[in-house]
Amino acid sequence: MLTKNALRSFCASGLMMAAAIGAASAEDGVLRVGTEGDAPQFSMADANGNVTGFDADIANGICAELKVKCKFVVQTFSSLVPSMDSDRFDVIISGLGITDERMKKIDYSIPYATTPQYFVVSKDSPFVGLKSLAEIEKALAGKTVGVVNGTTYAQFIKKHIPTADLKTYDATTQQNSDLAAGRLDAAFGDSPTWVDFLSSPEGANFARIDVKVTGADDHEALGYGMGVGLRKGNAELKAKLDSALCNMINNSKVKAASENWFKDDYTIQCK
Amino acid sequence: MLHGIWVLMVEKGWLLALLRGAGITLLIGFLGVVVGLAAAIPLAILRWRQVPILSQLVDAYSIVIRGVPGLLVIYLLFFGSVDWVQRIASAFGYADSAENAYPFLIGIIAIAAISCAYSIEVIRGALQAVPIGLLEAARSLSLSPRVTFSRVTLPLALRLALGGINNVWQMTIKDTSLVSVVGMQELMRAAAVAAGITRSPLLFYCLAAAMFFAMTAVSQVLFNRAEKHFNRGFSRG
Amino acid sequence: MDFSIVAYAVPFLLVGAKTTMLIAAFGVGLGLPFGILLATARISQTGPVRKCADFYCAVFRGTPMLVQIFVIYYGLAQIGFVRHNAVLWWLIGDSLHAAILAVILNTGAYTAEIFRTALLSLPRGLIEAAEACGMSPWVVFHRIKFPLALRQALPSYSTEVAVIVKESSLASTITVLEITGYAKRLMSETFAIMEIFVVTAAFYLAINVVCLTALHAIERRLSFERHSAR
Repeated sequence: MLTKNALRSFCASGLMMAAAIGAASAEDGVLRVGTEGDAPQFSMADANGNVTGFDADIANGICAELKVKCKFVVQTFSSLVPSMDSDRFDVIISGLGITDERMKKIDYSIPYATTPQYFVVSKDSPFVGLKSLAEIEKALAGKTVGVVNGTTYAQFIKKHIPTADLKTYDATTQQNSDLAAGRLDAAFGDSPTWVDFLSSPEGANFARIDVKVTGADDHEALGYGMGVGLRKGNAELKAKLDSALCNMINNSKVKAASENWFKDDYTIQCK
Repeated sequence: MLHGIWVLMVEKGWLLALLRGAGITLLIGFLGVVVGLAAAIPLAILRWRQVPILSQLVDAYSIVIRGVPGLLVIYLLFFGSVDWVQRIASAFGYADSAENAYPFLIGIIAIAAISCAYSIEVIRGALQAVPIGLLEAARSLSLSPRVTFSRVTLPLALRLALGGINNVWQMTIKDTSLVSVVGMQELMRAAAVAAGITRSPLLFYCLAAAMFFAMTAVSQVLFNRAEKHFNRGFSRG
Repeated sequence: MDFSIVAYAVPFLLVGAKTTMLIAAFGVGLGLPFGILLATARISQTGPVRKCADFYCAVFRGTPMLVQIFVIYYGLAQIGFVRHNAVLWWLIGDSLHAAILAVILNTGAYTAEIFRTALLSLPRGLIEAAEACGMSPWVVFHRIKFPLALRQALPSYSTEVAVIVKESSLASTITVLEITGYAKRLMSETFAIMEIFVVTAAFYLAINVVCLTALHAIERRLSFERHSAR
């Protein structure tokens, strides 16, 4: 593989140069949190890189429990798992669903919350009155369905509506603006995202199909609820995260955050 | 309408976020070109001297990088580089710093890897364009091949390469926008986040376009001045 | 290298290759005439026409294609008028159409630069001779200037064609599944980054080789040597 070697050796020399230019050494007492940053209600970055939302509350709660400082690293959802692998941050807190597929790649804390998922369509759409998942699967065959790239929702649509024309977006907000622009027949995502979108001016003409989809419909594709993602094999960090989350669940901090951002309690109890 | 824009830009601070992103864009672009050029000069010389095997390797590298979309190169480096970058960095005792500076580093490496391939072609072309008569003149003065190269060929070639290097720089500044797709906080990503959160894509993407345009336009003006400077003593035409 | 992943990826990438080539074909087919039109506008005697064309080229050459594609796809879709106008929405509403439009607008600016240089470099004497023969400006253009400029511009234009093939990859950022779109999806599915990269790179290199070979053939047909050999 000539090209591969050339590329590698070149990059290695580039790295050495750049590393020699100097970089800050690792800070103690900081937990670096990878998060999406443009997922309404979950993770919203402002102009200064501060993150607010449910994910931010969970992260800050964990950091308070562990007595460390949270440092948010904001990037696209689909790049979170590969980037944690490359040590850009220590944990992922970004409404990350726990799935068998992802568990091969990363470890998880205990699940702390689960949100139901819905299909959203235009109010004038013939699909708006569908009554069951089976009906939706049939009706959306061959239609354009939007999801965020790399999410469990993408897996779910691929498996359940294989003929759908699946559009994958780098960001939730891009998906929503395409839905609003009328480029999608339907979009699939979690309840909080839709609460936010449907209450915004651009979502005024849209409604969710009243069929709640949960992990119970398909654990394999949709997973087991949201957990904090961490690199494989860090048992010490996992134990710390688990006990921090369990405390937050028991003293209703998770419930408070969920009710604050989602107007509903989606906590999964700690066993 | 105007008031709304004012609120977004100033009170909510998005203009500052965009400007900060523009700063990072310039920094990545500049370091990318400098690192790329530093690597390209020896590689171009290898290629120009037609050193067996190495010269073919350089060719293969240049052809692949120039023939493949920048996006792919960036995906490769951001998602695929991980293990071995870490291994190399720790082997040289840079584990901690590499870890911290990782996103920025990979961004620069990705951009440098692309600009390097183009710089190789520019410099090779310039080396070949040095008039043969001058080299013969140097030989007739019985300058050693080494002195001829360092005192005659290389300085002349770099002058000839200036236009090409400017093109590489302009291209690189634009290529930095590609690292936004993996979430690096430069101008394009700042614009994308702002567009998403404020739901005003038209405004923010146009603003980003204007900032990129300002960067390329200003550097073109600076380049034209530099060219005039370097062409002192050479007649035109 | 894991060859089972390669075998898994190839059928997807083949589907993507069709879309890549479709975008590139439109980029060349419509971008070339558009670029030539812009080039003639840029050397036109009419001030406002020339200034507008100059400005257009400066903007499209001075900003990244990624920004252009986002302005067209996400930005323009924000305007109600665009969404409710059937023709405009046909252009912008479909991600593939929007990508093709962006490629045409972008390559037009670069093509214009190539042809402007070529047109300006034509020997003055030839054109004067044509005018002295009483040819109308249009005849001078399409019988003398254009064929000569085309031959002059072709080597640079073949580089531009390779660029078009590469730039078509940006369509993947607005949900079009061309080669890079599939590659990204495959990377986030299989995590076999190097394997997918190598196969995908091979696809692009193959397309480039085909395009460049075709253009070289055209170049040879148009060159002086061939004609004098006849």
